Amino acid sequence: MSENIYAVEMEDICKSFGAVRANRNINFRVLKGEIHAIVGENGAGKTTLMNILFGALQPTSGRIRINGQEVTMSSPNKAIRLGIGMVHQHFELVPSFTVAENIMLGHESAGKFGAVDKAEIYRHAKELAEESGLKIDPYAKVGTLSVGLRQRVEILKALSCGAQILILDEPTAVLTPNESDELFEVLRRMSAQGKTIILITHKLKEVMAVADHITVLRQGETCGTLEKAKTNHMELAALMMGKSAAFSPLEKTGTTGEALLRVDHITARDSSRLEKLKNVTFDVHAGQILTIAGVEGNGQTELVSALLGFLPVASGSITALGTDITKLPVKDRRNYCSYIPEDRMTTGLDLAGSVHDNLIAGLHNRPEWRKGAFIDYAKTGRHVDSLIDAYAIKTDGSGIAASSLSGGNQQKIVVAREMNFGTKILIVSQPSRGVDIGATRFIHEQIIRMRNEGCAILLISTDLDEVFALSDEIKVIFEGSIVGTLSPDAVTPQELGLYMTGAKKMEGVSGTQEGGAA
Amino acid sequence: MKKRLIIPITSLLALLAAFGIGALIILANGDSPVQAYGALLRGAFGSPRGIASTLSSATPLIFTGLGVAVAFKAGMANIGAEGQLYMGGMAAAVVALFVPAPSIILIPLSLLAAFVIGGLYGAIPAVLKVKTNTNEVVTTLMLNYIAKSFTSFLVNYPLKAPGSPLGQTNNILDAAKLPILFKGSRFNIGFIVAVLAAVAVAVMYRRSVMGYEMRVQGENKLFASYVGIDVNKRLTQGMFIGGGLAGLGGAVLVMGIQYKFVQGISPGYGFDGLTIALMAAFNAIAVIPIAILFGALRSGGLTMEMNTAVPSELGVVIQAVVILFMAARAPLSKKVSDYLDYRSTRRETGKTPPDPLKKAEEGGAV
Repeated sequence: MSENIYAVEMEDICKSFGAVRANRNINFRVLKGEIHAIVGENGAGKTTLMNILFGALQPTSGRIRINGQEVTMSSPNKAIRLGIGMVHQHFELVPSFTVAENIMLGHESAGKFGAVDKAEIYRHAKELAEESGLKIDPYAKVGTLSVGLRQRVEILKALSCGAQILILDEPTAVLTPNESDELFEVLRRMSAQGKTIILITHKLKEVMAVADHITVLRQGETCGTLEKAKTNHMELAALMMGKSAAFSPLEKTGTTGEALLRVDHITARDSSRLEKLKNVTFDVHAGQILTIAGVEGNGQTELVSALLGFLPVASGSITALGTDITKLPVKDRRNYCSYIPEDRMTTGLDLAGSVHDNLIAGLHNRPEWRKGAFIDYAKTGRHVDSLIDAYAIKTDGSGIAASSLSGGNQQKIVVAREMNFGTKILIVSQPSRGVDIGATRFIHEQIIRMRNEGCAILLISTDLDEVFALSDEIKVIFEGSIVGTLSPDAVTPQELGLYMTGAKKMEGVSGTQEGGAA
Repeated sequence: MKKRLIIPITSLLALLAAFGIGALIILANGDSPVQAYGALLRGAFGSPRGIASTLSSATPLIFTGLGVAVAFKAGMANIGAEGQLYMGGMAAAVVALFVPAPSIILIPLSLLAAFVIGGLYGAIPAVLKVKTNTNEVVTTLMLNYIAKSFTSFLVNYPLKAPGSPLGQTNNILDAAKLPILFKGSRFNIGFIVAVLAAVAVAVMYRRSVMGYEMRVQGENKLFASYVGIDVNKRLTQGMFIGGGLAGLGGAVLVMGIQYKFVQGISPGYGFDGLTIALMAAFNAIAVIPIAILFGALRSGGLTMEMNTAVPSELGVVIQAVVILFMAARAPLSKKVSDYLDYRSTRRETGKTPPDPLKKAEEGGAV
């Protein structure tokens, strides 16, 4: 047979999960040695398709050809044998092992008496790193590495299995902008070496930066494969969303008022007594979106926990609407702050509970929604119906389990509930995390609407696009301290990245710069 | 077919399959299943006396079924209804033995004692879970043995009826005996209390703030804590109420059937309660008919034994098979639900995807 130019051909792939048809007659071809991006909203079927290619899922119907050979991808082991490697969104590494041990895990070369030949492992890992240009110290413990380097270990691990086709599932979700750039550099180099790269993402900017071809999925179907050179942002976005999706910036109106949430020099330690928040101070004003920007794991989780009452503060105070809430229990703080958590599926929703029960959670114990020991279900029922209406939540009544709704509608439940909590302070964590463009835009619009209505909004974000799109003021958090107070109009993404990675700091910035408004 | 019917339908299938297997066993013994089951039915429902006996057997089962259901809804796998029943029964017996008061006071007081002591006993695993994150399956199970041994000790030593060869207490005061509803049987107002308890539990879950919070934290503790629910408090309350209800199961045995506390008073009502609660999918109202069915197996089993050569233990066999099939219900329900999706997919697209569920169809109930 003549040389086949396609590394991967997937034909008429269908996959159903119960009633949900995740993939419908998908056709997908990847040229040898190219970087091919699969884009689509969440739930468009990207990950399902790649799991089918990697043998982790079996298609309901359809054919797969690798290098022109028709194959049955019965398991990931088979996929690996055929030269396919997958780097998952969540790394599968052993933190206490060294880089080399992780890379070689599962196919260690056996030395005498079946013992692991350590020298060989390190030699091989080193060789691999040099060949691929992925620089890394094979002796470093994975637990001590940054996220970007851990990802490198994952890629090396796939390569060590002889992968010629590499699938990366949303690789930049956990990376800083600089780390992302480095990753793209690596991907380009690997593609130049003849490796085929399949990149799953929903960030169009990355696609335009690195891909050769782009396949757009929408609602489980292919909307076409485009050449990068012949397309643009707008066309891709329109294809992904199924309608012309012009990115009109939302207008911010109104003026900033008094400080509704005041965080005054708080310090907090985690359960192992490590100081996670150091002297953090900021005010959030009415009609203002204050963003805490930072690379994940620099104290954002602890900050939210401290604000909501899950983590006691060692010193300092938190004041909401003039009331000191530092010592209040969670329940009472929720009367001041509503909260949209980052992990909306587990922290923001009770998936086993009904839509109604999810929409009234937190309201249910307020006097106005109660009749003595009982919930006023007539009243909550009306409230729930109006929310379902106002937010266009697609559901078969309010009595069915939240789990039976689509992901986007589940997100809407969280937003609808928290934005109708009757509070003037809203804390939002990573609104676009794990969410597609449509849902992100919806949440962003709602955040700006709340801001325009005079709410004080504290946004926690690691996503630079989001930070610039929403913020009125940016505070950068690094290792538990606020290291910079910036205006989104006066800072470049690169500069913000330097603050986020700790390369740059403002001196004496722990105080607020807006004393005048208070 | 609607998806919400899957649980009742698969439960019914499990039950029918159990009776089918029971029939095979009867046949293998050379008896007629028709006669045996006929006798069972007649015994259980064929006469007012039979019905009274069935309902009186069902009474402690409703309580233990509720006790398990409430705890499970609150997110606690309560395998300890048996122990809670023993402790509650003993508490009722002590009050009923030693508090000289008129019925109007003594009966509620004894029931209250059973509820509180059973509840406190049930709360122990909850407290252990909250404080030390101990797995409640282990603790509730182990506490069964402690309760059984502790009450055995009491009825063999400090509370032993003088002159009795058995480990049992004296008869309780007459004022503490639950009023009989049907003459010539021991069918008593305990049954009405049990039905009221089921209704109360249903109302609590569907209407009250406490029930809402218990339910939500039972389903998702993280979510519950973020919306301001005191998870530890609600979880402990759920176990307290569950233990209390199981404890009432012991009280109705003491005050309505035995009129004393006998060593080994429960032939596994607590564990039957687990099966009943599972079959009812933890729905309080559904516990009632299922408990009555189990009561019928017990009361009708005796008639069957008297009139045919089939021993009443067949009822136990049927229960055991039901449990086995209930364990198979989760995968079965999934297959049924998958099959419904398959059918709707076929209808919508006009295409026939390869049927992933051929086995489920062929296997029928199994």
